[in-house]
Amino acid sequence: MGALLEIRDLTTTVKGEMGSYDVLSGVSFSIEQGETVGIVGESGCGKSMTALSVMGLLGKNAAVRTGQALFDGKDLVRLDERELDSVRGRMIGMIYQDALSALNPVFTVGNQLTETMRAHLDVSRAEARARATELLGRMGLADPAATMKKYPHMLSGGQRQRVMIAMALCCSPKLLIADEPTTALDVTVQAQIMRLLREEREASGMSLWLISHDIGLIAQTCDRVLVMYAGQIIEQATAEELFAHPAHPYTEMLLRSVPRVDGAREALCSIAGQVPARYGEMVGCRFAPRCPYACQACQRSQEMYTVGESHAVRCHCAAGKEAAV
Amino acid sequence: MNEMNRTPLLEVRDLVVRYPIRGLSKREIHAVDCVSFTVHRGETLGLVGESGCGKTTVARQIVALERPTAGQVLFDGTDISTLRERELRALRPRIQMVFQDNDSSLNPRRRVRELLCAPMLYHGLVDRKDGAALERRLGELMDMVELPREALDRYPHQFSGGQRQRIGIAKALSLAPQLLVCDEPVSALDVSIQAQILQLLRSLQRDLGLSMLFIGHGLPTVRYISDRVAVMYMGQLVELAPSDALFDRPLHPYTRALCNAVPLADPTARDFTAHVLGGEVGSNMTPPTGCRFHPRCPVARECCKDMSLNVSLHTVEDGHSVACPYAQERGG
Repeated sequence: MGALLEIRDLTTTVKGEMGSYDVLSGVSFSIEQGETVGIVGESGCGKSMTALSVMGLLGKNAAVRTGQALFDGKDLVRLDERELDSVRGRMIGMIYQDALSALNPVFTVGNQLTETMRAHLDVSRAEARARATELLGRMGLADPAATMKKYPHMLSGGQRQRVMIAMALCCSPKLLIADEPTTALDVTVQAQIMRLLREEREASGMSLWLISHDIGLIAQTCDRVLVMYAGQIIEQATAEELFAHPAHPYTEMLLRSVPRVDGAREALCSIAGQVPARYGEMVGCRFAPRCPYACQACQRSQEMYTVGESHAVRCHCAAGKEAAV
Repeated sequence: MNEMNRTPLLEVRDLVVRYPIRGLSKREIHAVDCVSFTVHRGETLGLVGESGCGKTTVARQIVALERPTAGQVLFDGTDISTLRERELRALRPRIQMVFQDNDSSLNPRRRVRELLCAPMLYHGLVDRKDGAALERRLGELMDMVELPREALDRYPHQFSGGQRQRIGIAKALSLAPQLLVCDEPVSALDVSIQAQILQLLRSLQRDLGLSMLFIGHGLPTVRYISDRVAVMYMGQLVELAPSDALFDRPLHPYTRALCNAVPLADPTARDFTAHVLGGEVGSNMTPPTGCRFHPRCPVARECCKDMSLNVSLHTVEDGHSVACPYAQERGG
């Protein structure tokens, strides 16, 4: 079976005061039906930008320069607003970190849920209400009927997040994009929400694209993991493979920079320096300025090398390919 | 540490903080209820708990930004909760705070140099006229937090989040404090930057012999930096133990739930969603009777909601104390 979403060579440009530059460079990956794919990386590495590019939600100052995002045979990048509206919310649901700004403060929860369904599905008001109430109940909200009548500000952070998930799921999308869905929440609430997402996914066969900087969350939720750095995917592998044998120096250091709650208090690995500004103009490996293993060959642009079954890495060293310089 | 035997640097005794609710007569928010702990000299005590559990309120009493409703905050033997403002002023340099959000705690219109000088001049730690001494001190502070001296002449917005946190730390250190109260100092930072700041705090603490109260909600982070850890739930301490003991053998059902809910960076680890806590944290206006955790506790008994239930911390083994009366019975 073909991939549900296939992103090919996506490059997105942002126009700034100092001219335009690429924030995403040649991002390619795919998500199969029913699969959970995670993108992990630090702030500003392009995780959210990838999702926004695919969904046609970029601001006025940004645009997809090249590439394709094939979903259901359609290239999302080339669709006009009207065509996109029939995909967004219907076929692809999206949830964000900040539920308060994603929900409309002047409409009740019930209002927003039913409106979404009425816009996309052929249902009556009563049917939509019944379905929304049922969905809120499934989200673990104690009194769904009462919640329907509430405004977003009357709910706790965890409750709002559930409402937003209910909204994203109300049209039974084939793909759910979750951009830092639990970052603002406490760990116990995070566990509740992630369990909920997994149950929904297992019940409906939906695919999940999880964007997070939380390495633990990615490790325990995803089938496959992509690591992003400075607008590029630098490593991708199955979760087991990636965490057991990280190949890229950045991935390795990233994994070692997190204190372990279960293990010994080994020295944390801190990565010196910062992500370079205007990385889109860099030639060669973008991590090289901070990489302890950097050598001459890193000055040349790096491709993705296959280092194992479904494991690829953008580093000639890790791939054992000492290119002649 | 033989110094441990001397009076603790900080002792919080039966701290109670209630906030009145405007418009609702006689109703109060029970923010902190009967919290007691000590911070020894040179020690780092971690304070963990979820949002709204009262961690920051405790911090605000310790740095004397507020007066508690009841209880004492003894700093080096002096009860600071009853001191007059003038007496407090002499004490303030010894207790300093590092905040999470440096966008709001560093004045955007002041250069780093001015930000660091102001508190030192105010407290008379350096002579305004002695430019050389001032410059020397500023250089020292920059070295301590591993920033270049050129940074002194820049504005806060010209730095990254991690660098801004270093400035926040330098500002706290400028008064040569004995106690550093860090309220979520790394929560807003990326993991690789978190690691840098955590290591900086640890080495500063060692080199300067600082005592630290480290408030956080990230369990691995708190474990990494703390000697001992206290866990808070709805304004009360539920468990306090040496760091490793607490996370390896949590005794309170809430601490267990917290530990279980942390996803580990290992795809083959136990499922972090397997034992999710039901329900939500109740209202701080009308906290549950008896043990405040009983409505969500997976092992609650009928008697856990008794008003008479004693939920103060009791010691079960060396340095490990827990509020649950049945923790030991259930076994570790």
